[in-house]
Amino acid sequence: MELIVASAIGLMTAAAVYLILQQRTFPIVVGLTLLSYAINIFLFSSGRLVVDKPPIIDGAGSYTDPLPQALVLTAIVISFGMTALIVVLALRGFLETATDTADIPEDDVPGETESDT
Amino acid sequence: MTDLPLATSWIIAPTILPAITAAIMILVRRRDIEMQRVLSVASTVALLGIALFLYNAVSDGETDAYRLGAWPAPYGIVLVLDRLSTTMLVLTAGLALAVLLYAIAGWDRGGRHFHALFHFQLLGLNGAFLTGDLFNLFVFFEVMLIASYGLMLHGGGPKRLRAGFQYVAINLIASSLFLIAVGLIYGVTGTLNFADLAVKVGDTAQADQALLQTGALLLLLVFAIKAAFVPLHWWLPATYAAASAPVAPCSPS
Repeated sequence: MELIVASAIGLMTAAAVYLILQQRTFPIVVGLTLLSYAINIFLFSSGRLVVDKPPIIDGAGSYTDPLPQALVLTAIVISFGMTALIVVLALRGFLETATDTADIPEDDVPGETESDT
Repeated sequence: MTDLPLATSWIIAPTILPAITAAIMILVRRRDIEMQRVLSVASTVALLGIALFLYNAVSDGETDAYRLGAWPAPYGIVLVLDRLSTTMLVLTAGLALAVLLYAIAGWDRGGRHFHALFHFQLLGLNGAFLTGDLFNLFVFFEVMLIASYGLMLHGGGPKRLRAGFQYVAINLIASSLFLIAVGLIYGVTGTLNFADLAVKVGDTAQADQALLQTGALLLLLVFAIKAAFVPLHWWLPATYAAASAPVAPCSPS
């Protein structure tokens, strides 16, 4: 189980990094979503992987750690909100500038040309 | 010592006051910019007053903690008041007041919710300075960042939108790294409370040292990206140049 979870996290992170390094907004958004999935699973597994155990200490031996589950819940909510925001931002950027490239043109950055000399 | 319990219950105030102010401004006085300005300045002055009171309360070097929900210390979330956090509170409130007075000169008309977003950002900043819990720090950081995204886009326009997309994307990546660091540190030590961490880190087994150091270095990397330290500062010129003037000084750093 450890191998499957670890390689799933690794694979998703690798795909996310590849997508985030693209030049257009849509792959970046998908990459950020994948990255947050990978991190949710990683956070979940930080309390050790235990199967079929209650998240409470009842004195009857083994239990699963409840804290990472609460952390993951919070992380999911936050990353969901952030994804919604960045989707709207990408969409409005596309509608207002008629292009979906993520980089800023050189002449839009003040001071860049002077400092290059 | 008689004023300590009073100061203890006031520790939560720097986070509650901006939250209530922002909520009132959104719910009640959405269109009335004059009313928003009065409320905004009054609330920031009150915040400065509270910060100075708290600064005075712990000026003898004592540390005070507010336990949220009265949960016992390493299990619940605590807000910690010491000389560093009160200094940062006073600095934040003072800077916020100056920025606000400048913004009132006309910048705040550029978008509808400038004052509400400004106070949500103050909520995040104050919370991040006060908290004594690693994950709670992440949550307050996110509160601050969400408000700063709104402020960054304040005024609108295609240039700001493009710079805003970069800013949000970079901060989302940094927040993801923050969560990896939290996961690593929790996985090794089993605690998120700063004071408890300080004790537990010393007892870490030799085999886990590398994981813990990776987590700590990732935290450093995250804060370096968010504060734009030199090798990681590439996002800052485009963002701050595109943001409206009163927004730049209070952006997360």
